[in-house]
Amino acid sequence: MGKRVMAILFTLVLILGMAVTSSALAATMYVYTSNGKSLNVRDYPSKDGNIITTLAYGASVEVDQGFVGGAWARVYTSHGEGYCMYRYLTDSKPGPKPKPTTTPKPTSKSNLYTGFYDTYYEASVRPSSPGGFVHMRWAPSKSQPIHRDYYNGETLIVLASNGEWAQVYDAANNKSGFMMTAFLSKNY
Amino acid sequence: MKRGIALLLCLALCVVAPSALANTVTLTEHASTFDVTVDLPEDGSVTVENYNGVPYTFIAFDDPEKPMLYISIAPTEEYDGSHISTLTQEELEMLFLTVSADMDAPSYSLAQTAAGYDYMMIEDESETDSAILVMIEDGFFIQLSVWDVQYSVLTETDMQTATALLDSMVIIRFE
Repeated sequence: MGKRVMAILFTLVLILGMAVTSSALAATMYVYTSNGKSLNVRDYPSKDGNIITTLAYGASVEVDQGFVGGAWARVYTSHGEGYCMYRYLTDSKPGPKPKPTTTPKPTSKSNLYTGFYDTYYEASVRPSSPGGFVHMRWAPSKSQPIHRDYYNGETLIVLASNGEWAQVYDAANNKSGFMMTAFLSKNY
Repeated sequence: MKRGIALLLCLALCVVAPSALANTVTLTEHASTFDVTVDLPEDGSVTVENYNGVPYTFIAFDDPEKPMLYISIAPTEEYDGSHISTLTQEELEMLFLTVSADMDAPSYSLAQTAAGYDYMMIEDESETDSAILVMIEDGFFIQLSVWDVQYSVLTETDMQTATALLDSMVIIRFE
């Protein structure tokens, strides 16, 4: 009797542990595409995979944080498990669908460094185009000279930020400078 | 007479040989439905680096006056099923704004390669000059980026180097 109870308790603890573990590894993320399009979810982590469903711009989705798939994330949808490209997922719910606007944002050289606060986290470089690159600049402005270029997935440490720009450090090459936060994806 | 013919033949070979020595480089992307080839000039060399599953083919030249280039072929879900020629004006504006997001003073134009492929040329008119030539094929971004090694202003010759490379591009579709 005692052994049977112990076995049942052990099984229950195991099941509970697995449930906790799997929920701890899943995180809610949101769909963000630069053109507001829905995101394809495929049955295989590749463009060759069949599309099993689509997620609307701004939709939330559970993402398996324990899945290591390079450019692809494993997601859980109402249609079951699938895969979508990680670059189109973001931690926070995005604003309204993007619309083209040509109004330039003026940058005053006198306040380049205001608004920065200390922070510290590791981030991956995420160019605006899937095969693009991002400039690390000597100062936080697009008119400032370029220090070095970075490509998809390269790792940088974010040391400070003012929301729009981040002061970053490249430990692999001992370089530091400034990069727009829009091109950095926080690593967890 | 014979010496004259020999000299003429030598001269002819000297003219023909440089272009004949151009190497055709195949750029591949796994799990795609096509390959891309470009003709690499004689003084160009290629290195391929893979970033997050995207191959970047860097092209460097012996001549330090020539620009730096790379070609990348990356999957896109935003433009899956699209082509430059099928985008609306608003979609073209969005594409331009997205690709030029890190540029200071960008502008764009639409063009075709010598082989008839449509592309968008995005140029940064600022002092930190660079240019990006983008094609969309079968759900993939084919991007040629060009910049001066010192990030100084690109010359007309620099841009001709880039467009010549794009003009040599052939997309080979798998059956």
